[in-house]
Amino acid sequence: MKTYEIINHTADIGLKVFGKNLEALFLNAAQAMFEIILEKTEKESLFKKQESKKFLLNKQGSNLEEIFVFWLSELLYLFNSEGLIMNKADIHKLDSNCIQAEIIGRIFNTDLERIKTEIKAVTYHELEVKKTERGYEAKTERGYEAKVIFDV
Amino acid sequence: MSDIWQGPLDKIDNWRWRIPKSYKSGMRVPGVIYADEKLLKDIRQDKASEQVANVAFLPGIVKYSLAMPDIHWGYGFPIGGVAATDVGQEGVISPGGVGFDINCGVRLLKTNFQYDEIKDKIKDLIYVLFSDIPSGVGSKGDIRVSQKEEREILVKGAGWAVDKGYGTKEDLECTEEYGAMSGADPLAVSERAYERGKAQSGTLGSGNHFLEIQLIDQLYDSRLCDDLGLVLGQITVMIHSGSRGFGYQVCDDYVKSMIRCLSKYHINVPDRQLACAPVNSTEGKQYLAAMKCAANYAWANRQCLMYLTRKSFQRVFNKSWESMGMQLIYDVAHNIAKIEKYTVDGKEKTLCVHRKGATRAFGPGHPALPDRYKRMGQPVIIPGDMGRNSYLLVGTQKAMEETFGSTCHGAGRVKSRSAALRTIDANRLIKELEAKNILVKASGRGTIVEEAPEVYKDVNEVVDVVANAGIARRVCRMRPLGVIKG
Repeated sequence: MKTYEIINHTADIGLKVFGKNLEALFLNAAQAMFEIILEKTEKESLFKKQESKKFLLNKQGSNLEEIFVFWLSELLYLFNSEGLIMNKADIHKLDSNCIQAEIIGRIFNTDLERIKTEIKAVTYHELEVKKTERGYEAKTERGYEAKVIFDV
Repeated sequence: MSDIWQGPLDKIDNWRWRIPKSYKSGMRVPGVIYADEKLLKDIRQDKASEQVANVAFLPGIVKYSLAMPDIHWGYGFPIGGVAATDVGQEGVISPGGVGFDINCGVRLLKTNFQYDEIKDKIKDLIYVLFSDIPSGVGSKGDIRVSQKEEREILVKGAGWAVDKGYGTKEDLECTEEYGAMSGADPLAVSERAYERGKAQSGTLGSGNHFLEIQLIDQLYDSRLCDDLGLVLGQITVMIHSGSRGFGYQVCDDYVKSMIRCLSKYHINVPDRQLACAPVNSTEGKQYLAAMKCAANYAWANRQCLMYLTRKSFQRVFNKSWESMGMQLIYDVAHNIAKIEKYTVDGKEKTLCVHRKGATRAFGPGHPALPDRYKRMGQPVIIPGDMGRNSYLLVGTQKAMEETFGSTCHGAGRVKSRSAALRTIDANRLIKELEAKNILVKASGRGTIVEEAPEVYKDVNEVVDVVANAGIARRVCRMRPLGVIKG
């Protein structure tokens, strides 16, 4: 099942993400963001040999949409400062006021992979995080949906 | 982008269209878009016009929310937007009205080469420039600075680079704000911004940033060309870059903190990306002081890029850059907010002018201009796409009266990156450009496709509008010979 789709935007990149619950929505959004940033590579098996790094993330906000932007912005910052590419994350707490998570990933290695798109920032323009009508229990995995535009 | 914008665009004259204040409740002033009928069709293809209307919500906005003919859909502000707010009437400043790439801008330098003298060397030049100028995403430069020096860059801007020997005093005279805005406060900048900025001085960046070798293919005003020492067939170099990760982080930090200001100052805007605070509030002043740091960082960066360019030419031709006549014509910012004075309804007012994808275009006699440009007006540099043209213009008195001393900034996108990647073949594109004698080197093939000429409006049409509307005057036109893309 497709977890995200790219939506058209004249100058930037828009993203629509789906998840059966909030945690899945956040994880799928992060994965989609890294797929936009990084070029696909055939050397993926080599990543396994790389040491994995852990980072703790803890952000407060005043609503779910803000938390969603904070989450992606933090991951983008970790990528830009530490070179961290998220492989997985354990989300310990997630609600409309805060997110606490442990991010596990590899460090970007220019010998193994290339950057495809530089994302400058996560914007609030047309931002949406909402529960879809079908809800959690539907057979489809689309319980939550989010829309976000990246400045590239 | 399949949804055509259906809102009202009332014709004012052949070059201006009004979105009436009544279009949306909450608009404080009307919107005005500069375009001709043909460009207007493109403009209706995305949500840029809606964004022009949204900007009209900003507290203290004066006269109208403006858009230039290269307008397209951005986030918050449209790209190509100009908005001035009255500082004395609780006018606001919005980080989204400047954008993430603070002081993204362009500089143009001339050479004393004619095309015939250099045509066999274009390939060498492009390869040397490509290897000597760090480009691409997250590129890191050879110009390494300590944290103390980084603070100096934020205050001194291009002047820092000149002090280091990367240029001359004359370069500063030919740079908007003389290469540094005063009032930059390094303490208003987060540790994160320092972290992201420290290794990126003297790097080109990616996306639409570029370095281009060009030749002048048309003169429009022979007197101005004489004054500037420009002739047909002459080689020029254009550099387009900004404040890199440093500026992105400054903007990001302040958009996030200013969202809180919306409720604090009871501001109603239809898009959170328009988060803002009164220019005179603590938050407004802090952002402005941080924005100036990023602006100065960008001017230092373009100065370093020009230094590397001059060195590359020296390496290829084995001559000094001075003897090759590689003087800077001018450097302009096209993502910035400035505090400027204008006469509005007969009264002089201090305004905060946001130029988001728009260029300052001060007319003749403006006190901010150096003596050499006082008579002709400020040089304005308009980069086009890599297959067509770029322009050198000058500002006009009419721009001072109508557009807060502003004009367009480029061609303006019409096609999204994803649409470009779906429909354009990189090999075919490179061949087509080669057939036009344009050599392109890029860090990634994706960039070439995403930046293909057909994703942009025709810059010739955009410049026609600003010239016909009188908000800039054409000096000369260039066409690309060699392009380096990030």
